[in-house]
Amino acid sequence: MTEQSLYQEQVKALAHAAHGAGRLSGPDGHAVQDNPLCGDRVDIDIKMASDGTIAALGHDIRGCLLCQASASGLAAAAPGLRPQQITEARQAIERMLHAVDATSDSLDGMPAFAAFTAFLPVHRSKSRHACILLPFLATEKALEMATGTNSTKEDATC
Amino acid sequence: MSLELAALRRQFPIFANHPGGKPLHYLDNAAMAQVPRAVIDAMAAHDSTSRANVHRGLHPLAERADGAYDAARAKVARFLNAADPSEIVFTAGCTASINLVAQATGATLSPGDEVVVSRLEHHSNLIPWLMMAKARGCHLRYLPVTDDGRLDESRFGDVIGPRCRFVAVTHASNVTGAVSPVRKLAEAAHAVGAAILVDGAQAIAHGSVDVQKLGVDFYCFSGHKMFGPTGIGVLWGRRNLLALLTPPVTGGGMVGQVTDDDVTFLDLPYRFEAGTPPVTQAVGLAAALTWLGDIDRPAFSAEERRLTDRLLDGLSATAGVAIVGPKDLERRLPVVSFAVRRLHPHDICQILGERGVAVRGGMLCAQPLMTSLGLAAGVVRTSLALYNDDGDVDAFLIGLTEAIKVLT
Repeated sequence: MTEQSLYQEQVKALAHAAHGAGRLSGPDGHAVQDNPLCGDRVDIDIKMASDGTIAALGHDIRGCLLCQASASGLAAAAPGLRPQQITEARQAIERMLHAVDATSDSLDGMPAFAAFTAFLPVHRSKSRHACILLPFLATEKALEMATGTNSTKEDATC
Repeated sequence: MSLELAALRRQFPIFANHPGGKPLHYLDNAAMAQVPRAVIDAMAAHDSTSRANVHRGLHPLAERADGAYDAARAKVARFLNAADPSEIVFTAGCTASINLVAQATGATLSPGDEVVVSRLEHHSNLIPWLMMAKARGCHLRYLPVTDDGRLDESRFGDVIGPRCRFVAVTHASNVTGAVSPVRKLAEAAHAVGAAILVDGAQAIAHGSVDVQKLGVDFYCFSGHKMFGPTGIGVLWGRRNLLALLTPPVTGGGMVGQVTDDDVTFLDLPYRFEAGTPPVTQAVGLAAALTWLGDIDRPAFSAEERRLTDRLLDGLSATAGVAIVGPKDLERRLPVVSFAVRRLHPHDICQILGERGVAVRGGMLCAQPLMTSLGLAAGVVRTSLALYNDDGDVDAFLIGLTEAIKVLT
């Protein structure tokens, strides 16, 4: 495989590490996100710390290796972050995936999400962008529930 | 590759164009077949010399368009051995054809009536009936499948009961490739006074269909799966049954008299073709049928079966692969699906795609079937057409082995 493979060793390692795999008991927020293209489904649980940061993120993934890797990387990065930082990370990853010149510069200054630069080759496969973004979208909805900004999170579609 | 197959393949411009910069091994024919030059040229010629709306205008161009459109309908009628061209309704696709029948039939059903579908159905032949049943208070019943992905014939009598008013089944599964025993189903439906619709989306590209011999009441298919254009489908229905249905879609081109308070509809088939119909696409579909009639279809179909056998053998010999559907050539299409242990179908499709091998993966618009088979992530599907060759099968099997290596 070339360096431009979607399935780089870092991505596979992230998926196999399965950080955060499994549901949390008594979560403060929970959301489900479906990918209508492939039928994949992401279940996210969130527990919040008393200081307003994320204490833990758990997930149950029915999805491809890219989706599993993304959820794993997100679960590893999330503890200690504020909800807004998840949104900012998702936006930075979107910019990376959509960038014409295939650069991961948008993730500069986000050390918690440095591992996501391994997803850079996915930029050329538009149909797979949602695989990476799905865990983030579900997490943002779970965070809305956890922080009381929204109360209807089930079965959202990306 | 035989000279005949090589010559046939050259009629499809897509293979010479090397989309993606490498040879194309197109094994996604169950989703959409490629079009031969003859079809492309026929549509371009129509739009260059005869483009006009149909059954409206009096000028010479309109008359040429009328003639082309009517000739296309007659061509389809002959292809299906329909009793009369008026039994052929042009639609936007197989999905639109099924929706038309489901909505029109639904208006005739009562709460408590039963509609029977099968577990093999594509969403196109499931959701229209599901929605209709919910709206009308009818019960939707499912014909079960066997472990090898066929309809379980031993259960026909249990499921198609005295309350059944309509049966809607696929002619062949887009997932398992299994061909349904349509005549038996028609007999079972008619025995309880029910009508039967057959979804021919997959079967139509792989052999002749004689709707009268099948003994069914409605038959549907799309152009794009049989070497024709997108945006056109066909609904065939027995004239006496079509005549009982009220058009669910109304508008121009399908009415006799319109007053402030009432409307009368044209005779068949026009009452079911509201609005501007897919004229150019009908011309393209007719060209596809002509093209199919001009080739040695039995010989190419035999080649499809030989390649299907190679696919089944190759998959059976690949570690971790489980074929989903019949494992032999008996009553099956050249549509072969499989799952790979611990790997997601989309990851496999992605890697194959990067090698020029086009296959489909996922739920294949058949979620209830996938659920019943315990396939949460779906399957990878290979589907052959008569232009495929050994090189395509070789590229797929080699690519699959490489994909498994990359992903594990």
